[in-house]
Amino acid sequence: MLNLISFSSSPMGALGQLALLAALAFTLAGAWLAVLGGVRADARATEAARRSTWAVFALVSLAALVLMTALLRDDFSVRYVAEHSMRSSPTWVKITSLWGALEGSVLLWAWLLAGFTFILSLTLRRDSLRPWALAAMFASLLFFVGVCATVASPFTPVATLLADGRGPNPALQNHWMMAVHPVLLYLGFVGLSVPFAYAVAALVTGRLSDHWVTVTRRWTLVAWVFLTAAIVAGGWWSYETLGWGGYWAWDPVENASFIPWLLTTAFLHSVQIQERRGLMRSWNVWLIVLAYASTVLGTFLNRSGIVQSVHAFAGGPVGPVFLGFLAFLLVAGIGLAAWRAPQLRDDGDPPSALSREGAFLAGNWLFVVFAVMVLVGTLFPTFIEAVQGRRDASVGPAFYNAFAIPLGLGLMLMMGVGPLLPWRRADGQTFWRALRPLLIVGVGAAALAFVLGVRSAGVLATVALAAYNVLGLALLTGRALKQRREGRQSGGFLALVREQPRRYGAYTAHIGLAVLALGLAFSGAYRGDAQASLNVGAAPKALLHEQVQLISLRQEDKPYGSSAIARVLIDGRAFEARLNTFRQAPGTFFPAPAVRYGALTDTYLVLTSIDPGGKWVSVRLIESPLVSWIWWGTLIVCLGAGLTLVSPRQMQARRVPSGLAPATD
Amino acid sequence: MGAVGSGTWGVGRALALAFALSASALAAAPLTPQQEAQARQIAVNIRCPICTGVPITESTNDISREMLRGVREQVAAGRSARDVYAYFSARYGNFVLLDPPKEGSNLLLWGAPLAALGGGGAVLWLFLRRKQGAVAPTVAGEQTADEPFDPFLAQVRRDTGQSEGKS
Repeated sequence: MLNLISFSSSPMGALGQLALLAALAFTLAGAWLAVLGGVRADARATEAARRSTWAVFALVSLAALVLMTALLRDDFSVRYVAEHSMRSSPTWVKITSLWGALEGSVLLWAWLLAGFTFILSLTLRRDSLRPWALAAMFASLLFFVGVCATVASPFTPVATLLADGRGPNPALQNHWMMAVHPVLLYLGFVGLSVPFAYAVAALVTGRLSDHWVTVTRRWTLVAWVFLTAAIVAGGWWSYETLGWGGYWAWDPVENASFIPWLLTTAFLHSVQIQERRGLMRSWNVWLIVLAYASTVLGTFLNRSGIVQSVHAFAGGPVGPVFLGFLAFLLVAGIGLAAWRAPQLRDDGDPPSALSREGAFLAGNWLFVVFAVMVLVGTLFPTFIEAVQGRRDASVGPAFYNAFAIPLGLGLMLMMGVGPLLPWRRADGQTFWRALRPLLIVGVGAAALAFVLGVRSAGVLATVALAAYNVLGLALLTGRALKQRREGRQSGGFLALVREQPRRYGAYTAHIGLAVLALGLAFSGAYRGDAQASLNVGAAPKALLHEQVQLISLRQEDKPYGSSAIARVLIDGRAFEARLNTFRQAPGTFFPAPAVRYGALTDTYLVLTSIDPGGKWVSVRLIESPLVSWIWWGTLIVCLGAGLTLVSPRQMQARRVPSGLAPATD
Repeated sequence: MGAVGSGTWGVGRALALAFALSASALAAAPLTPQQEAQARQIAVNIRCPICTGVPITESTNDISREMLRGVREQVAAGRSARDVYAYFSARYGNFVLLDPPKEGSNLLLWGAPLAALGGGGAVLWLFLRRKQGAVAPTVAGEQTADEPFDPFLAQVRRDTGQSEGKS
């Protein structure tokens, strides 16, 4: 059995461990009380469960604080600190070490989950869904706090006290983005547990409260923004540190974060059909349950090592535990959905094909197919290994791109159609009149790109669809402004946005996606890549550049490692590319490419080898067009999505005729 | 930092050596630009057998360099992509093929998204085709794509028994 507590050897460790065990006790009690409150409709039990979440949050916070303190104080009596930190690391690395390895990241996860549960406990309304939403949150908490307090506890005592720790994973120390990407990703993953809890509550009680849609939509949107930012931040990390000039490799773990994104994006659209028309109720619950299950699947893949991935950490005992939780979720969650979802009946007739509902559903179809494709591609090698007993299959970018490009283009097509269509049912001729100019402009843009030398069909289609989307949104906005002027309403575009933040937030996010798509298409199709050996002083040509000159090669030592720094002039502009090596992994090199970001082209220089005498270096020079559009496009998407969260109530209350204004507002 | 420093330059030397070897190997088979592009296109779909999910074009280890040289030689000899893939899968197993050939058990892989596309499309089509009530086309201006939606406002209207009315 695990030796969990040892007061004498590690006071900090014992404190953290006790906090986790107490949190586990409150979680168990809270789960029981919540179920009791739901089954017996006992308001006191529900209230007690609600308050248990406060204790859980406080105790897990204490545990996280203890671990952070131990990391910052180099307290190597705590196992996690001894195994994943060291004295010489810079402070920011010590802080990020909290989630740099398995136990700490499970603790961070549990802490965020406890925090979200705490917020939920303050915002839940007093209705029949409340106990069951709490019970579902407790079920997730039970797993994460349970794992954290037992099999993956960061606080188990060490046998012999070390003078210095073993240090963090050097790949995570190589770039500051590692401080950001995992936290964003966890915020996204954990954020989905709240809509999941509401979905479970709806399934158990067989009803949806009035605000079900509003609450699930908002929480999902928040999680979606974090997820979007996290995925792209991960891509940027890859671009800045892995030295191959790319940002997405269809790696299993990247895929695992992308599947929930696809499903939540589908949900954010189809839930609006429920909001407006009272339709698609059971489908929406299904989407939430599957999205949450896919986050757990992603974590399982990340942590168990059953897929080959650059991200997969060593397995340890948590693989089977995660598999158990995943199996529980799939059986309980999907079973519950299969059994109860048909009871969540829709109010009216199914939507017609030519309507905004129809466009959203067609988009949903493509999103789900996309998710299935990524899932199948990710799990196929493991499946073959299980059947044939050996690793005999690989699935690379060729497979994913074969589907992702047409599916992505289809989604862009639907993205442009959706805003043009009215709810309920469109008149075919009116719709065609609205669509025609967009198609003409799209074809025109593609023709222009062709004349300018673009020959790739995928890129041409992306250009056409981006132009068609942007023009469509511009025309709709222009029409709204015109109506506004005719109605003699004051204010221009900003007033419009202030009154309808959801609409213009969505438009903004769509424009961001068009920018992002252009970045993906161009950087994917037109990448220049050259290798060269540079001697000090000589200046050969490489790629589009007249002169690539090595100025100097020097070594810089830091307490935590050393870097070889090559100073290279490319057409007169200085680049400093590094090869870093860290104390905890001597002899392993981590490239830090020098990247000069441009609006149209990035120039990317990475060292591949260096001369011991300091006379020459081998470099790889990569020129990718429009890469920065990906980062800027994502920023626009996130800002737009954030804008849709601005409460329409505050913004539109003054549109209510004065006699109808509620007294309380 | 003497120990770390020597480690740095020591591996640097090893890398340098590997690079020098591969450079001479590459020089042995000059290719036309078309062949060069073709070799690259083939090589990005061949996986480095000892790395995690990296094609041989992105890896600097000896076996990848050797395999890359093999690809270039075969392209120079005029063999097709299919032949080259067959050659490498015979030696290293299907594991090295990042673009799984559409045959055998791989048909499951390639077929699954198509099945999802077809099945999902059929379900969606049937759903949208189901009995349509007499939903008249939305008249432009009555409830257009431009009307803001506000659940709060809708609630107020329901509560006060008033139908659509704009201020």
